[in-house]
Amino acid sequence: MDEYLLADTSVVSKLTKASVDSEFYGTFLLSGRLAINFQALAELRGCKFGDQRMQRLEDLIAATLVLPHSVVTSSWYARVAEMRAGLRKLKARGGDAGDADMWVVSSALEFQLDLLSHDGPQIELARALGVRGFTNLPQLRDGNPSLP
Amino acid sequence: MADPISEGAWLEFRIETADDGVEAKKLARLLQDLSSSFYAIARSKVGKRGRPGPRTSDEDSLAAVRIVRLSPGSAIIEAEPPVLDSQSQMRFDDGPTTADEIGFEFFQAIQRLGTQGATSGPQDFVRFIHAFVSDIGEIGESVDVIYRPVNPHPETGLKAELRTRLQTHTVPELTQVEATKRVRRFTGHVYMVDVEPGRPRLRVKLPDGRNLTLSVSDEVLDQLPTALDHAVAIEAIDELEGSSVARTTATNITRLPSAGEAIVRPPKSIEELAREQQLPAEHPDYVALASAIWTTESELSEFAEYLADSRYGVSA
Repeated sequence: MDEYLLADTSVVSKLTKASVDSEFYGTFLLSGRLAINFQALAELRGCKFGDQRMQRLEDLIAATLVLPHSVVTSSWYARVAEMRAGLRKLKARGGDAGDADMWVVSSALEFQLDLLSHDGPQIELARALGVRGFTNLPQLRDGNPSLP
Repeated sequence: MADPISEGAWLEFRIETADDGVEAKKLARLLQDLSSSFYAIARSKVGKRGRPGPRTSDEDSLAAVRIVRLSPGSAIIEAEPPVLDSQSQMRFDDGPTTADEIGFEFFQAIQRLGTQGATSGPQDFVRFIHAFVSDIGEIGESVDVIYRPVNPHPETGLKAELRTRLQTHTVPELTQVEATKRVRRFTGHVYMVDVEPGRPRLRVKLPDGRNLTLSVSDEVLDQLPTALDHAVAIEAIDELEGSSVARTTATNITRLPSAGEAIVRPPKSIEELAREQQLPAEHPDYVALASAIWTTESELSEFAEYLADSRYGVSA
């Protein structure tokens, strides 16, 4: 069984060689498999691409595991929301994460997957909840967990 | 490369003195400041700075064994590593610090005084070490300091003897570094609290795996017991001396919901989902697939703007 990594939408686009972050995130997927959740799927399909480009996007999605929403995801979302509220109260980092970020973190918790994200508030919120969050954002790279 | 370790004391000071002997009271003061330096380093390493309190048996053992040899023209002081008490609270050789870490810190501070003329520092112990060197200056103009670690360095595996020579009369006066404060907020998991009167503190594992020891302000003492073994958000004050953090004190602790509580399984496992979605058996080249969609930096920027607008209603 391959190891899956949950990627935020912000990372999926940065896998392209046109991105300076491609090497960093791509390294994780040399042996690991890519997963996205229903939130990222909606964001990707919401792009206004032309037909040919949209087909290439569908090719990528077809090679990617999509984590669906379920009642369990919502249970996790409630916990994530509680954490975000606590962080907001303290004006701590991660408290500024958006609702879409919370769904992605909820999926990471539900399926107990490591998270690849290029979204600062999302990665901070995920780490506060104990998710192993990897990012190439310069200001947060030092907090990347050590790899086995 | 340093010489291999040789037999001898843990820390040794060879002082060149005048031929007519050394006054006992000067020697006593010197030994007292040597002890104080060890205590201060040990406490700085476990977050006890500024809270003297009663000394533990391990702290006492840090400077318990010292031999002084006097002869015309020299005074040699030898310190042995601590004799450890398994019931002690400091646990020098079983974390959170070791006797060798303390000895090495001490040696480095002496070395800095001799080689860089450093006259200030972020830690309390610098002034004790400075006082110790001044005491040596009262009885001699130069001293050879030799440090012989008990155990190999945990990272390098080296167990080398280190030496430095110091001209005591050329060490500049100690100067004060202006202290400032800043507020910091972070999250972590509290894995140890110490509610001993006079020096309450807590240890936190940060999301990146690092451990942090904090002092605790009186206002949040009541929150300590309920914070143990839980994820918390902490508001703390860093006391800075220069650019270094001399002490961190927690001023607000909020317990956060733990992700580990009541884990609920998803209706379908990863394996079931992968089978359902008929993913390719061969490992996909995700970089190639993405490179076919976003071919230029301009296309990447457009997508980043779309995503930022979709999530936050703002442009990236």
